[in-house]
Amino acid sequence: MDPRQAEAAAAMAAMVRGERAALARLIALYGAGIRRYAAQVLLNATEAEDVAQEVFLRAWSKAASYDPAKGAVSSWLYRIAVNLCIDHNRRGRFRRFVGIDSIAEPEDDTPGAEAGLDARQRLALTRAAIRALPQRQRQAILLKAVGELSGAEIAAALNTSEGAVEQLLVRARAALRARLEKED
Amino acid sequence: MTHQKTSDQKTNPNLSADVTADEAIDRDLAALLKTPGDEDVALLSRSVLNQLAEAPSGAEHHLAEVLSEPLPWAMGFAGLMGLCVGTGYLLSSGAVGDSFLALLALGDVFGLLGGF
Repeated sequence: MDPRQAEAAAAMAAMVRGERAALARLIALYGAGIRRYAAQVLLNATEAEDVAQEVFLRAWSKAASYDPAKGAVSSWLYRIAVNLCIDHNRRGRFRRFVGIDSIAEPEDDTPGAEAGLDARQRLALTRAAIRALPQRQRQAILLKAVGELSGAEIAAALNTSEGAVEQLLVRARAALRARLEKED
Repeated sequence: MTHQKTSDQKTNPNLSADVTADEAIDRDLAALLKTPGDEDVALLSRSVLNQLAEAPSGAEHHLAEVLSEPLPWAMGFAGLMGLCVGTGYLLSSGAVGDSFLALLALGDVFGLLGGF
């Protein structure tokens, strides 16, 4: 087993015993990736931190229900993240529809004041291209690129087969390549 | 699957090039979507652990749940009301004499429970 996965599995076992330090270890392993994934998938990227917190709070409260036979800890955590993001987006659409929330401003993703216009344009184009992908393709490519999950882990997170994940990734990459080449 | 692909790559250079190109796309995408400081999870960790320490319990938790997710609770309440109305209608349609008074009393009880 991959050392990261072994550490995560040990942390899960410790969480079941009620050790809060184990949750901190899990956050150190997957927190950044899950937050990045949420920031890319959510309609309102500013909610990414909240969603990441919710993922780990749920992981804590449901740690006993984690079954290692059904997949790696990473898949389990990302599945929670995927579902929470879907819920947040659904709620966000409704809230905007009834006027509780205003339409989310495009996020200022400036990597730094000194960052070039080209880099920012490229980032904006890539994000637009990712947002234009069908939901499953978007989830798969982001889990791969941002979450750095393997095909098997993505399959478990999306509750599908590895073959289907490969297909989703192939289509997503082709669509991204085509769109970005057209923009260039 | 990975093993299959690896052995195919040895025999098919085009496939190998495709795989390399795919990996390059994933790498570029990962690099592009990373922002400075997003690897720092200290704040996230602290927030989660604080929330765990301050987790509400009992009635406080229920109130928070109702306020944050009112729809399922409202639907449950509406369902119970509907059940009461349906039961009342079915019973009252066959009611005569003393049983009618009993049903009126039952209606009062339902009214009290329903808040009307």
